[in-house]
Parts: sequence; C-alpha cells; structure tokens
Amino acid sequence: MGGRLYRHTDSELAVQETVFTRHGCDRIMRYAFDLARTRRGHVTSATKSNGIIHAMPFWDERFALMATQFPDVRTDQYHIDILSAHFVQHPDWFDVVVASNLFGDILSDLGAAVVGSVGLAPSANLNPEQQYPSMFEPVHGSAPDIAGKGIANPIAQIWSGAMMLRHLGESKAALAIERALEAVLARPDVRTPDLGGKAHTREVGDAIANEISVVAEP
Amino acid sequence: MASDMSVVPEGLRVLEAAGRSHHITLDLHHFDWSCQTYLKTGRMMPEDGLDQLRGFDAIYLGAVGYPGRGSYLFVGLLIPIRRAFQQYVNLRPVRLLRGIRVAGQRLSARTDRLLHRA
Repeated sequence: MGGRLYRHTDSELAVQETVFTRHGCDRIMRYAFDLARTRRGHVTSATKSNGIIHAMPFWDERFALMATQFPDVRTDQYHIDILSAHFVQHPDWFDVVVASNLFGDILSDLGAAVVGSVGLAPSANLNPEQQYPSMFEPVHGSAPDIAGKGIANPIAQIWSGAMMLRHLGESKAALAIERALEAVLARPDVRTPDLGGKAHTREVGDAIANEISVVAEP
Repeated sequence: MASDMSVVPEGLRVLEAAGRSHHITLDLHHFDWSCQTYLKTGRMMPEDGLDQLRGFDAIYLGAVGYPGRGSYLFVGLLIPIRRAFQQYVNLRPVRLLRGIRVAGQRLSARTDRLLHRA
C-alpha cells in the first residue's frame, strides 16, 4: 500500500508501506517448517532486523516462536546482505529458506544465477490448503526477441508442470519429469540456443517426453 | 491457461507423457488469456475470469509478456489470481542440474529451496 503526492512539484513524494501480520508471517513460516521436515530438516530465515526496525524484529519473533513448534528442525537466520553473500559462496549450506516478498524475489534469482539456470527456473504459487487453485509458471516471462522462432527453452515450463503434479499428489510422476529433464539437459545435442545449443523447442520437449518412460519407476 | 509461446505445448506434451506412464488422466481446459487477448479486448482475462478458474485444482500458466508492455499483466492477471486464491506461498526451487556449467567455484550437488510470501 502507498501512494504519491504533489506530483510535478519540488515537494513530490512517494510512500510504500510494508505490512506484516501475525497471520501472514505464521502461515508462510509454518509451510517452510513443514517442507523442511520432508527434506533435510533445516530452515533459514532472511531478515534485516538491524535496519528495518519494526517489521523485521516482528518477523524474527514469529520465526522463533514457530521454531518452538518444530524442535526437530534446525534453524538459523541471516541478515539479507550476508545471506546474499552466503548464497554465492556456500549455496550448499541451505535447505529451505523463508523470506518476505522482496527478499525472496531477490534471493531466488540470485540462487538460480549461482547454479547457472536463471532461465530454467520454475515456480509455484501455492494455496497449501487447496481451498483454491494453485498456479504454476516459469519464473521469467516470454522472450519477445525470439518469439515465433521455435527456439525458446521449454525447461522452466516443463519443470513447472512437474511442480504442479507434485502439488496434486502425483509425486512419482513429478519426479519422473524432473529426472527426465535433468537427463536431457546433460546431453549437449538437445540444448536450445540460450544454453549454447542448436536444438528447437520441440526437440527438447520430445526428448524429455521420451525420456520419461525410461526414468519412470515401475 | 496458456499464452502465446511455443513452450506451453511442450509442457503439456511432457505432462501427458508423465500421465500415460503413471496412469494419470489430466482434465485440461484451455483459456486463451494472453497478451494478444489484451491487445484485442483491453483485458487480460474476462470480468468473470476468477469465477471461471475457481473450480479447478491447478492453473498451468505459460510465460507471459509482450514487447513494451509489463505492469498490466500483473495488475490484470497475476495479482488478482494470487490474491483471490490465497496463493501465499511462492515456491522456487534452486537446484544444481547435471549438465549445466557453472563458472567459478565447484558446487556440491545439493538442492536448496526458496520460498517466500506472495
């Protein structure tokens, strides 16, 4: 929320408010802890409570409180500046990272860049309670400069589909897609130009679809 | 829901292949709510768009975007969907994939995931 006043004058100002609520913080943190339990049991919180002196200490309090409900989950927290540096230098330190909107936006692209795959990144916009539909899409938008040429990289779109299947309870099928796309990515002859190859979009999709029958568990 | 890009058919092709090998039937409904629709009608989605989507289990969205245009797709499509459907988790995996060359230091093949509030 926010607004602008006194446009086109020397007094022009812009205000952007951040509102954190107990309900909003707790529900995302609970999701993070539950997710960590299915993985390596570690949650990291991104904060900046030494600078953002109202909202971030509140975020930290809610994180500490949520952690008491998950004594089996290891936790840590870092200010966003040093966390960004750790993402570059020690990405393997992290399992699940929970962050508010802006920090999360930044860290996710940074994380993807570190592993060399910004253009490959999928995303899920989840309503975990499944009261409403969830939405699955590539992180980055279309590439208008190559539109219509049939050489766009479909990996992020395909990977987003795997995330969707997992959310719908079909985790074996999701895993098969992920294994298939990873196997195909390891083949230099089936890469689109953004990855230095010469393949067309359709060839990559076909290769992954064919690979699924190979990697699927019986 | 799909947009104008060639990647969505590949996503659907792979989903169908996974469905066949795992005995899953996907009931797919296509909504052509794209930037082209916006250019023709002035809206990314119809006025009752959210009601049309509400009964589905999931929305599979293609890459959206068009040269020179940006904020309307968030205001007209993505943000209404994320808010109305309480999509408060934005989940983004970060994974070192085999076959992707990464400049600089060696990385161990650990997966980490990132999530944040919508």
